Amino acid sequence: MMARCQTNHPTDIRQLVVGTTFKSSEAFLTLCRCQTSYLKLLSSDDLEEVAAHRFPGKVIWGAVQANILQDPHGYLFWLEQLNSELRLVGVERLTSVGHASK
Amino acid sequence: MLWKCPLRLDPRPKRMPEDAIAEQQRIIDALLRKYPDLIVQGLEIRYDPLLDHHPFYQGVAASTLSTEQGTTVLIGSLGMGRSETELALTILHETYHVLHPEDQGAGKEERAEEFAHARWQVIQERHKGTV
Repeated sequence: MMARCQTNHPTDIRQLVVGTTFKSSEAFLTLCRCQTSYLKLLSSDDLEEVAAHRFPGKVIWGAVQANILQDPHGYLFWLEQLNSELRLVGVERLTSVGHASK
Repeated sequence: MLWKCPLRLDPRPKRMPEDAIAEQQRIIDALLRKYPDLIVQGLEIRYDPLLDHHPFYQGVAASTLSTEQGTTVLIGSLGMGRSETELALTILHETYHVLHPEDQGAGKEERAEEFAHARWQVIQERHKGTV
C-alpha cells in the first residue's frame, strides 16, 4: 500500500537532473507521490527489451511510470542499480495523440 | 475435459523487420534534409519501432527521452502520420517541449500545437523561397 504524501517536496519531478541518486525506490516514490495521479513501479522484467534498447550496457533496475497532476503526458523515469543506490538515467515523456488521428 | 485454444496468443512483442525500420528512418531523414530548419541543435530524431510493437507504448505517438548523452525524440507510426506535414508537426510539437521545459502549466499542449503549426508554416514558406 502506498503511503500518503506527507511532505510538500519542492522538486518538480519532471525537472529532476539525470544522474540524481536515490537511497531506495521508496525514496524516489515518496518524491513522486505528491505530484502524481498515477504511479506504478515497472520491473526490469516488464521492460527488458525496452531497457536494453534505450540503455545498452546499463543494468536497469526498473522504471517508474507516472501521470503527473494536470499534465496530459505520461512519464517514465528510468532507474539504474548503482551499488546500493538507484540512479536516474533517463526521463521519458510520452505523447499519446498523433497528428494522424486528429 | 480440458479445452485447448488452437490460437494461443503469443504475449511476446512482435519485432519489426530491419528494412521496415530503416525505411521509416529514411522518411524522417529525408524530411530533415528537405527542411533543415526542423533541426534543433543537439536534438536527435529517430524512428522507434518499440513505440509500435511494445504493448507498453500502445497509443503513444512519440516520446522524448532525456539521458546523460542528450535528448532524443523517438517517433512511432502514429507520430509519423500519413504525410510530411503530420510528421513535421510531431517533431515540432516535441521540440516545443524540449525548448520550453519551464512551460508545465495548463494549456501547454495547446501552446506546443500552436508553436508547431506556426513554425511549420514559416519553414514551408522559407522552403518555397529557396526552391
